[in-house]
Amino acid sequence: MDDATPLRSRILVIDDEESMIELIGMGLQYEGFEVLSANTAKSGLQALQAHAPHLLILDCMLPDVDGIAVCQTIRLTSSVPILMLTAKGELDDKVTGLEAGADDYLAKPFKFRELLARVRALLRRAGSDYGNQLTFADLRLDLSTRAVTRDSEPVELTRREFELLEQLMRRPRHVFSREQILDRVWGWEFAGDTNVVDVHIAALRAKLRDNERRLIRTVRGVGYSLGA
Amino acid sequence: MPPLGRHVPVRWLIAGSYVTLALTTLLVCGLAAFTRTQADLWHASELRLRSQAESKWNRQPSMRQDVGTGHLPALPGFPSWAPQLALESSTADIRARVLLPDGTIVGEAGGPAAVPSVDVAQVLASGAALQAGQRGDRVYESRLGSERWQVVQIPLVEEGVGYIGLVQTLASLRPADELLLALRRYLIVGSCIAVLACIAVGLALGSVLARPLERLAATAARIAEWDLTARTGLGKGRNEAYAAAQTFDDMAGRLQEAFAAQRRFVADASHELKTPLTAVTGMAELLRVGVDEDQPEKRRQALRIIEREADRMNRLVADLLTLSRADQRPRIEQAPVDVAALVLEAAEQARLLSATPDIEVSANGPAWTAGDPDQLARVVRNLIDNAVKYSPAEGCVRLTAGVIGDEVVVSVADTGAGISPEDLPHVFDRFYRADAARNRKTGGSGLGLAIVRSIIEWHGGTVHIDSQPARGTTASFRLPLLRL
Repeated sequence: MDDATPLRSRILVIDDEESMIELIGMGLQYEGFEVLSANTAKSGLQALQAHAPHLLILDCMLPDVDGIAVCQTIRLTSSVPILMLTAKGELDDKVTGLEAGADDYLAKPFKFRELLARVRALLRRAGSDYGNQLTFADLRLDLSTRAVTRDSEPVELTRREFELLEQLMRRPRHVFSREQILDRVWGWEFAGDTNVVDVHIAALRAKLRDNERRLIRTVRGVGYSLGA
Repeated sequence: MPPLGRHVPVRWLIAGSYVTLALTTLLVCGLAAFTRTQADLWHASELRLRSQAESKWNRQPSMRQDVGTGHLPALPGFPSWAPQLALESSTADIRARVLLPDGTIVGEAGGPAAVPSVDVAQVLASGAALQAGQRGDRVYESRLGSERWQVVQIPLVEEGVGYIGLVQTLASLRPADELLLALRRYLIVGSCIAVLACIAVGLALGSVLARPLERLAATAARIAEWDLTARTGLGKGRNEAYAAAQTFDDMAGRLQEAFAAQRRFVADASHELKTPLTAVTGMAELLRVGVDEDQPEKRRQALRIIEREADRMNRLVADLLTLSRADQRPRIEQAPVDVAALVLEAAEQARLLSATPDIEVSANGPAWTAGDPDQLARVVRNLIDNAVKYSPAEGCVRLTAGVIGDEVVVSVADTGAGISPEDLPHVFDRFYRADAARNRKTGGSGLGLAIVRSIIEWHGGTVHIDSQPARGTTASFRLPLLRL
């Protein structure tokens, strides 16, 4: 098993919208999660029993039972983190959702990045180790304390450097292009040069004492990867 | 000019008009009673004084022998019997006086000690009247301080001798005045009580009228501030003000429902748009971060979803536009439309799009109505689409079109699963889904039947839906027949 992805978190998506299941499934699988799906409350509750997911993404509007009621039903027997999805952004709906036992609430339309961030935060908050710590060789990155250590020695990183390292550590040995790194760390709104990536990589190597460029490797003509 | 009473509360208007009415009545009646009593009292007193004065003079013919003195036509013995005449003409409360034509008292008796002095002008007036050929009797008022006295004065005319003097009888009017004063007091006190009673009753009655109106005004003000839950809460009543309040409550209720429906519709519309929007932006985001880098089929899948969801938004927006246009009820292009031909054409198109289920048409044309052919074609198309969607492949959709009475009637029947009785009243509602999962998969916007109803009602027709679970559903509409 890969050292940097200690255990794959299992996420159950209950939504009657096929496109939402496809979107969340495709995105979360790419980010290294195991995704199960159900399109009715009934089949969703069965999947919850059968697969014991680490997190539940639940749509408010289901064809058979109201999402709020499903949430209350689940809370009778389980404390699995629940992220509710809704198309209604009204405050009352949020309050109702949270009072019914949801841990977080996301209103459509949302960015996938935001969904991902909330999923990771919920898993962290649930106290599970899933996705909480990333390790690679003697490098350790704690997402909850945002502490980075190499060979048990703390390393001070800026926010951008931390996020850049997090991206690399999430998919060890995967080659990221400079554009992909720019997209993931700076976001699409950033309209700058890819040189900024090189500058941060250089700073990161210096702080991690990676002088031989063994830890963060340059793949000529493509980009960077963590390890070979 | 503002209407009278615009700035006066209703209760004061009512109280005021009552007071005016009562005061006018009391004043007219009181004044009449007062004047009449005053005149009656005067007249009764006069009768008494006159009879007292006249009877004695007539009954004294023998005593006139020694009348005759002064410059007046002499009558022998007159001054000497004058005291006797005065005495006999008087009573305990009537003073009698016998006077010479110049006003000199020649005899006086009876009555209280103090009496008004002789009014010479009145004495001379009697003489002047006699000379003018009149009787010369006079009745007049004299005053002793503030006390009124009535004086009756009769000239003494002797046959063959002429005018020798006058006899006066006087009586105080104090008893009559006291009676009148008492009457006036009663009238004033009575009027005051009546006015107070009128104010009290007027205010009470005014409140009965004003209370619902005030509540109505306060409620209307709250509604004007967008508190659509405000009601007068006065309940039913046969009083017109209460009836108005009740009608107002009913109106406010419908207003609230209409606003709620509108808000729900906007919320539903944005809800329906948000899901495909999330899918489209989300998939684009995943493609941008490289979800497809090793797997080309993932890119195809993502693009397929983007395309499908964009189509869905497109359909929804088009339906929303159609519905909003039909809701605005623009003037219909009043062209004659043969609905039977329209149904045949729509069935033909539907057969081209899908081979199953079978579509049967029985149209007894022509069936003319006045309306917009495109809009009506849309109605028929939506109904057929629904019937096809909910019928099994081996099922059958039956269309009928024809004229019944003075209406054009079209019905579309399917052999689908039917609609449950609790869903049936809502199927024409916007975004109402009898079965959410199936409806979404079949790609409906949830607006098809709402559009049907809106267009048909805009054409002055009615829509109806009937369903038997497991047997099928029949949707129909009726339009006014156009006689060519």
